[in-house]
Amino acid sequence: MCAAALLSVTNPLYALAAAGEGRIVIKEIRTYGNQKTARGVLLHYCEFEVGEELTQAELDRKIKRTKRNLLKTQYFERVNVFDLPRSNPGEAVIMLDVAEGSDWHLSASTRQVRLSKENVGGVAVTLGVEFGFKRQRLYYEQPWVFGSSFTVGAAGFYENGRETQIESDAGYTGEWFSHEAAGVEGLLGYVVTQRFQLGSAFQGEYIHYYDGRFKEDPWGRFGVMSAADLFAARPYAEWDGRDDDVYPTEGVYAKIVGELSSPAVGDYDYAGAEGDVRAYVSPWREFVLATRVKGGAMSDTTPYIRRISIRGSDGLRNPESNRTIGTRALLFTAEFRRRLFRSPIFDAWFEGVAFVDAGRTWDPGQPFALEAFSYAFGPGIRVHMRKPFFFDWRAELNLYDKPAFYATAHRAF
Amino acid sequence: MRKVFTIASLALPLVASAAEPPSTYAEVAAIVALAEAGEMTANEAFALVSAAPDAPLAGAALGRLRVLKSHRIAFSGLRFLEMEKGFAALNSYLTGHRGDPLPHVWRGASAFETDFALRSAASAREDLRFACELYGDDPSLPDQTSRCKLILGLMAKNEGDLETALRLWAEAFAADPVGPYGKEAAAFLDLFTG
Repeated sequence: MCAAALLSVTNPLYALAAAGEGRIVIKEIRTYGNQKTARGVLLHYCEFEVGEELTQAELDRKIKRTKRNLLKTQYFERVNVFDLPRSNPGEAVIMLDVAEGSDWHLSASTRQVRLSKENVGGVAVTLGVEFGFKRQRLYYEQPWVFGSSFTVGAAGFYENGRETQIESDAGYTGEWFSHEAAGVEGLLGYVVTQRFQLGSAFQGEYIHYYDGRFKEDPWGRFGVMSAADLFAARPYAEWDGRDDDVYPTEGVYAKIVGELSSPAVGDYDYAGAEGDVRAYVSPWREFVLATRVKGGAMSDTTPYIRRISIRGSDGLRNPESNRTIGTRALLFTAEFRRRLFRSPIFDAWFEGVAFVDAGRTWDPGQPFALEAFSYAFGPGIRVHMRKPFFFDWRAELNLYDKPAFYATAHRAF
Repeated sequence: MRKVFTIASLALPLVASAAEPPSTYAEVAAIVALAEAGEMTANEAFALVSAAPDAPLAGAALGRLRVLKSHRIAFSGLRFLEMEKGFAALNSYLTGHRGDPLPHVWRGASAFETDFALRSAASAREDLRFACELYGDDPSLPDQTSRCKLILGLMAKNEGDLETALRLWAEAFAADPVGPYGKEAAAFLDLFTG
């Protein structure tokens, strides 16, 4: 391959011979529009390299994937990858034509706020902070304690392009709880969470996930789980055939995530897998029908904090449902989306949504029966801002049973 | 019209050195051209044209200069207000002077520069094509034809239509091979051809 590449670049006759066999040699990769982003960053996301020999069909496929890779970074608001008109039919010159977008990305939900500066120095480094607000309803495992916790923490994360990611965060949690029998309120413990992710997206990502939780119970009222370590590996693989990562209109996306924890390295012994399949079609111009099936199964020994959750704006949008965390889960979601208008003040556009959700979870030991699902449906509105911040906001109103309003600041599936 | 642009090209250094309020169509056009080329700030140009609001073309020039000024405003809300006033002035001028091609070019260029926030790509294309047709009758005024084709080519390229972009840039170059827009089109042709 290397020899062929060298030959094709140095010897035009080799390129002609390759063309005769229906193969094309990448003669040059040009870049345009990257005022801040290093050329090396653009080339990093390329699916081909100078000197590579391939067929026209392979080249077309790789051009499409390169465009998607570049859009997926969210560094650019526009990406074109052109196979330029050729002076020699056997030699391709590829142009990566981009328009850079906003560096500042903001996302928020009722659980966390994250502000990051993307592509720092134009070398694909992301720096940011994350503040969390977590609520844990402990009554599920310990029905005699009602509690909610509040965590304030900060996270630093570093993304070295597409292939690896290192993330770490730490937080302090105060838990206010009331004991059903004693009626006492008090302050309890803290939580420290460390996460480390390392993966390669090219051949499917392999994530090593560590989540350590240390709890102290100064009053000894819980009597159980005063301290626990959780260590789990989360390998996952994904297939992304969507036309666009940010606003998909066509294609299929699938992801499967495993989670394995062994008592050899922590206090838990459980295993499980979750799947997420999404499909998008655009039956009419500006309209998109987005569907998703999400589900999974975990062993009955899975601790409460790691069970499958379909709560919240990314799950079943019905807060009245009490079947949203379990060791087995199934969720169907369909959304009909339409771009409404574009804001002239900010670089932002508005989208209208009609959604339908159906789903439920099963408790440990409960038989898996496809009945007694919970439902949600209603309208929603979304704002996709690209300047001055990269910011997605959405609000949805469930009209099924009791009306409920959901608002969050990150993109839908 | 030919005279106007002959005067405009002569008036460029004149206006720059004297910095007097303009009184003719050519002088107003020249001031805007200086601001577009970055040889005078949009604020300076705006102050000059504002001093002669009754000069021919002044209404459209003030609109175009407001859009240029808005590029320098950091706060989105204020930038939008300035842009909005700029487009309103251009629209208002063109209501009474539909046959004047230069404000059409300004409005098309403004729409392109502001990423079509207040005027759609289709409307901008219409403006630029209309101006091309009007300028097409007068081969002695090649630079604005070249400019329109250059911008139309960039719009096509951004939309992913490279074939159309290359054709338009070739036409832009052919319209004015020695002018700044023709040279820019030639550079794009070179860059986007293998």
